[in-house]
Formats: sequence, structure tokens, C-alpha cells
Amino acid sequence: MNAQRGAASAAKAPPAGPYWLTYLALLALQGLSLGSAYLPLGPFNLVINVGIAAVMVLLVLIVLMHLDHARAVTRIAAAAGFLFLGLMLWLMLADYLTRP
Amino acid sequence: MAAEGSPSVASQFAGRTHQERAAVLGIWVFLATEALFFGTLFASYTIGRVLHPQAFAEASSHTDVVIGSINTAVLLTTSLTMSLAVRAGSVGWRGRGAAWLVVSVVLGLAFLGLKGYEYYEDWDKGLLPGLHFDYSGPDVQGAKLFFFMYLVMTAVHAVHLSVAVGVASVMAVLTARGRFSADYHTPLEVTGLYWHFVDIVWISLYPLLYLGGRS
Repeated sequence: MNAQRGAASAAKAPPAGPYWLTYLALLALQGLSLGSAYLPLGPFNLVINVGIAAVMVLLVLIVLMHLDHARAVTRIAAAAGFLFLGLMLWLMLADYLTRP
Repeated sequence: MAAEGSPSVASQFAGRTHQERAAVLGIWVFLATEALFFGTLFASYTIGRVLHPQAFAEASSHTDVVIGSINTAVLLTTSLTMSLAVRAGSVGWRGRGAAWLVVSVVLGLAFLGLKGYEYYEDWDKGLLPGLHFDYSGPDVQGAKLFFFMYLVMTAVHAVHLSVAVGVASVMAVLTARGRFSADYHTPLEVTGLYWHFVDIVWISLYPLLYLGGRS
């Protein structure tokens, strides 16, 4: 029975290709981030490093954590955490960056 | 066999799909609170960096970029192996599922081992405030704040990874015993989501703690 179930469900296995591609992209992005850190770009070093990290986080969220196939309510829950995190950082910086 | 391999649905749920959806939504709500929990640390780091930009850049060039980069690659690899484990488990491939989980656990332990060695190095170099801090520069207080944030953020991350390693170990045993099938694999799914979140935290920490002040 187990063998039968295994054979029947083997056909339904989602493709592993996207996981491998995402993994290669993540490694490439990490290399890019590391390499760019040694270029004298002034404040843009931080902009590039944080920008690359944001892309990597999105890749993990969307492909590896299956937000691309998630139900709307799950996506809302995921987005809510980052939305409130963004609000916290935004309002905090609005204070610190405008102090005399 | 069926009873052992597919646990019954709890009474508050209409069916297995309902139960699985609730569990997945539940872990995402938990992860949202975790994002805010780590967010306070990122916020503290940001304030420190705004107030002491030079000291933070100078201090972050003293962390071990080689170990930090290797560890980042190790964690990215675990995200792949965990995805493959959940995929295998979700179609009832016991052997492959358990094997990928074991690989993830071993790599997670390798990360923790390297991190531990790095702490020893940091202690040796006098970079750990409160334990052994011996640092000279134009803004020692700012640098001290950086290393305090470095220690707290990486330690809290390590605690999370330790929990993930423990849960994944249990999942490896359950998968090998045939607890999960194409019909029932929610615990694997939830474990994978938590593992990936811990990876996301490190992806965010890496540029802030290891890549500053290198150029």
C-alpha cells in the first residue's frame, strides 16, 4: 500500500528546478555583495549591500517559502510583519535624522 | 497502518485541509511577530550607525569576513536542502526526506560550530563588550556599541538556529519512521518555513555586521 501511494504521489512531486535556480542566484548575489563591499563607492556600498540583501530575502520568501503559491490570507500575514517593521524603522529614522 | 501514518484531525477543524491551512497561517503570524522582534534589534543597530557612522564602519571591518561569508553560504545551502527535504516529505519519500533533513541539521551544526570559533576569536582579539573588550580608536564608545549589537544579534540568531536544528532533527526521525505522507506533512512544511525565516535573518545581518568599512 505504501509503495502504491509512493508511486501515485511520485508523479505529483513539485519540480525541484526552481529551488536549485534560487540557490544558485542566492550564492551569486552573496558573491556580488561581498565583492562590491571592497569597491570604494562611499555611501553606495551600504545601499548596494542592503539592496542585494533585500532581493535575497524576497527570493527566499517567494520561492522557498512558497508565497508564490500561498493563499491571500497567508500573504497578508507575511506582508503585515514587514509592513509594521518598515513603519517602525521609518518613524524612528524620521526622528533621529531630523534632530538638530 | 493508515491510522499510524495519518493522525486524526483535531476536533476544532472541519477537515485535514482546514487544519493544514490554519497551521500554515499560524506559523506565518508567528514569523511576523519574529520579524518585529528582530526588527527592534535592527532598529537599535540603525540608530547606532546613524549616531556613530565612522565608528560602526571602522568596527565592522574587524569582524571575521571569511568565517562570516562561509557561514552565509552554509546557511544558503541549508535553505536549499530544507526545501528539498520538505518537497520529498510532501510526496511521501521517506528516505530522501530524512536524508535532506539530516544534511540540513549537519550544516546547521557546522554553522554554529564556526560561529562558536568566531566568538572565541573575537574574545581573543578583545572585541566582546562585557567579556573582554580591548579596542583603540577615535570613537571607542561607538565601536563598543557596534560590537554589543554584533554579539546580541548573532547570539539571538544562533539561539533561533539551535531551535531550528532541534526541530529538524525530530522531523528527520519522524520522516524516517514514515510519519508523513502525501496526505499529511504539515509539521514538515511548518518546520521548513521557520528554518527559512532564520536564514532570512542571517541574510539581513551579513551585510550590516561583516561588509561595512571594507573598501
